[in-house]
Amino acid sequence: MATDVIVIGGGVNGLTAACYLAKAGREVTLLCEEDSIGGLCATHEFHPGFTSPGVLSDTSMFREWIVKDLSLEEQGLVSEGLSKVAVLGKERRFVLSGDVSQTAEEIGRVSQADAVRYREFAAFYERIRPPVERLLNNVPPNIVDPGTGDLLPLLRYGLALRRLGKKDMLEVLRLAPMTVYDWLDEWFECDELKAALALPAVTESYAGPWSPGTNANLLIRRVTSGRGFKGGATALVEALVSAARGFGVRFETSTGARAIEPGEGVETAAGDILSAKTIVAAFGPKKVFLELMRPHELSHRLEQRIVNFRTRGLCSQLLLAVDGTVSLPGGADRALIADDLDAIEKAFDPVKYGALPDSPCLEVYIPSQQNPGFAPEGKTSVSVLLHYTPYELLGGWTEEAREELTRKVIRILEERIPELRGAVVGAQLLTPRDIEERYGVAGGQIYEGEHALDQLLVRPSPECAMYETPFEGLFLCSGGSFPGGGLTGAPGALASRAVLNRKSRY
Amino acid sequence: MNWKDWAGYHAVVSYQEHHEQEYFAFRHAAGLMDATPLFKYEIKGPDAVYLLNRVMAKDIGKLREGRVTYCCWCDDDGRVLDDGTVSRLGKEHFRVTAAEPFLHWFMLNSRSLNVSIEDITSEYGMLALQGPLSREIIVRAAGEEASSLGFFRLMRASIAGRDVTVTRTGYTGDLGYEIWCRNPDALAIYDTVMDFGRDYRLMPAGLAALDVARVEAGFIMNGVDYFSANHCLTDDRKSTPYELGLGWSVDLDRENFIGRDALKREKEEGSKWRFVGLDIDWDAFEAIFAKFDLPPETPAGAWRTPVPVFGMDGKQIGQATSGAWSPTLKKNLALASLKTGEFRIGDRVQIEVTAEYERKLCPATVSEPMFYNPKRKRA
Repeated sequence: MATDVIVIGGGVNGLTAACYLAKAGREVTLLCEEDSIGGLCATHEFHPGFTSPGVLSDTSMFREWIVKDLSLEEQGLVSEGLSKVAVLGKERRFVLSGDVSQTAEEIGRVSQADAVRYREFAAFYERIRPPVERLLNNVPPNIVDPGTGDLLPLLRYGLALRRLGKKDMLEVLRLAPMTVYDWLDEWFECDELKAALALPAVTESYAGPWSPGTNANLLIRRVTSGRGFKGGATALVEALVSAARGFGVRFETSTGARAIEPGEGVETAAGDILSAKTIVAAFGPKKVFLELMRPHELSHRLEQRIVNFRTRGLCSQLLLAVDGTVSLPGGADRALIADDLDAIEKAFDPVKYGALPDSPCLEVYIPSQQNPGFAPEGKTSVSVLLHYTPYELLGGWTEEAREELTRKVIRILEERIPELRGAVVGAQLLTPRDIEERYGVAGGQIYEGEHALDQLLVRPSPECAMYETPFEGLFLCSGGSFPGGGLTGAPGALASRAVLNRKSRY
Repeated sequence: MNWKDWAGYHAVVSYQEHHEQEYFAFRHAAGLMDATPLFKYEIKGPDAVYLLNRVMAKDIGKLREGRVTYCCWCDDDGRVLDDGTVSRLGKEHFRVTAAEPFLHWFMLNSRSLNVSIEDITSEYGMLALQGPLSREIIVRAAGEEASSLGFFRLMRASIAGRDVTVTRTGYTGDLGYEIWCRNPDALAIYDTVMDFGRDYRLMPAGLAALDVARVEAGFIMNGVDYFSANHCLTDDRKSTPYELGLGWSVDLDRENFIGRDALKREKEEGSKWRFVGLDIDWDAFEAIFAKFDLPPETPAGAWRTPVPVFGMDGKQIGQATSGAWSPTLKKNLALASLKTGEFRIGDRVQIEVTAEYERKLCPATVSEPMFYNPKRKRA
């Protein structure tokens, strides 16, 4: 079997890359086991009749320009309007959404001052969006080995920044290395609000709100968040798969990849050889270099850099089968439980020493609201992300440890979401180790590499930062490449650009 | 008796006031030298060959059991990190020697491999028995079997009832053996070898005698004739195997190893430096000193303070890194790195000589870096 390009990995990035390459006229084979289509948002039944939405479910950061480029709307993909997140404090509850006025009004119920500040906060991010978006939606600037051709984009970034005016420009330069704690403390007084804004930004990395650099993640989140899609990640994956078929991508779903032979092809788990000059790997860099290639093929330097690329997963997923329906305030399908910034920091502290927090912070998602088929009629499927949990638990992830954690989380949930009381009929806990095994992500890190300042622009290593690798015809396109993990499609789209720009060579 | 620090050990420089007698023992009878401070690693397991093939510039897979080979290892850019010997004691059992600690490097490069790496430096001793009469002595100490031990072969034997490994290797450029043993056995083995050696005028020898011998043999020394890439602040200071005359030990036509791409490129494009020998013109040397009414001053032993080397036109073309007056060859010798393209073997160049605090240039003839190479070394 021979083809122009083999894309290995059927997650959102793999599918996106396959679409772009096929659209450009390449003969593309996507190699991925059937049940792994969708990657980190691949679904599975965790309790009879109840379906898990996968561990990544937030589609609000998927790039609109990719939807346009690939005409995903023609595949039935519909923007859902602005997603809503309920903040479930001990006493105070309100709903955050993409609609600034609505959100400010909600915040006004708990703090008038913060309502005013929130409008300014949102306006600030809106103003600084253009240069940041430009950065995040393009191949990263070549700061590793810049030639004269690379100076122009750098100059453009500089100009775009300068165009913000002195005040905003200085603010952008100031905020990125800050702790999200200090930054949000400058803006707001309401603890629940600060915690709700911070949580999604700090959980992408081995960091708490007191960790420097976490504010860069908040910046990226705020700037890239959009509307999300009806039907959530499942609808997105379905649209990408059908777009890919439309562009002529051949799906090889009977088997996965066992070994990569750069320039030659891929050996499948079934033992066959698929030949292609170009291989686009939509797996994290650790899997690509440390599992699918033999040590001697790597230079010492590359191997050490990939080994040192930090992929410590700190999040577990608890899947709950609930008898009855669950509705969140304001009709939201997501909820956050983190009472203040210190509660997040305290949830982060013990994991450094292999222990579990007394009170984990929770991100709740109810997929059956978007996907009624995910739970039987009148019942609800709930996915909860637990922050933080260690990959290596002291004493091991024993049955007792898992049960205790599950009980603890259910207790917190029952307190905040009364409909859950006594209604949980089934539960499945996926620890970082389980996530690593189920989804093939190193360390159970769901962003395929921590979103730390040093791992954002040069990602995962200097020689691979521009999707190309030192191996002829081997490209990377997972969340472990720029601009990082999450359901953005950007690494897939940008990597395909790198492949197409190199066409003269292959 | 003089001592010096060698890798944290007290090592004997010379047992006598002057090392000359010990040197002549190496060249005319035999010398026995304690080389225990050499770094030693045992590499074992199903992936031992895989690891060594990844690290070493030489194809260790080709090394048969019972054999020893000399090789070097490089960084990703093909710059030498160190050189040493690899002995294949069994199918999956190797012993590596190094001038510097390399446990960390071997460990780093063994990720996911089924291999054990053990630093046996402080558990194993090594005695170098070197010189034209060393065969007679090793046969008496270790048994008749040792008489047929070929060049760069190894055998297991018993000396004074203690298990040893004997390799036919050395650093003097003559017939010689190296005896590897466990530390607690070393003293008894030393005494036994000394006892058997008395009839052959075996002498305890130190590092000063060895240093003269290794210059005559043209053997490079890490930290003297080149610097491990790990320690160099600039790329210019680093050396490749080709530049050190070790090109013969590089096996490029095999699976990737550390530094292969860079070495392949260098082989195609040519090297910047070449390692050579210099025979310093004696009459001119004498004349330089005569001008000051002085006899020619050669250092008492081998020297290792680098001095510049110039072409006949006065342009600097490299540096001599070590040298010695050879009592056997009656020649004033140096080992040098010269820029390729600036000279040919047999050319005359000039080496800097200091006489009465004045820097002078003395003519020298460029040769291959091997001044002393008796047939019996290999026979």
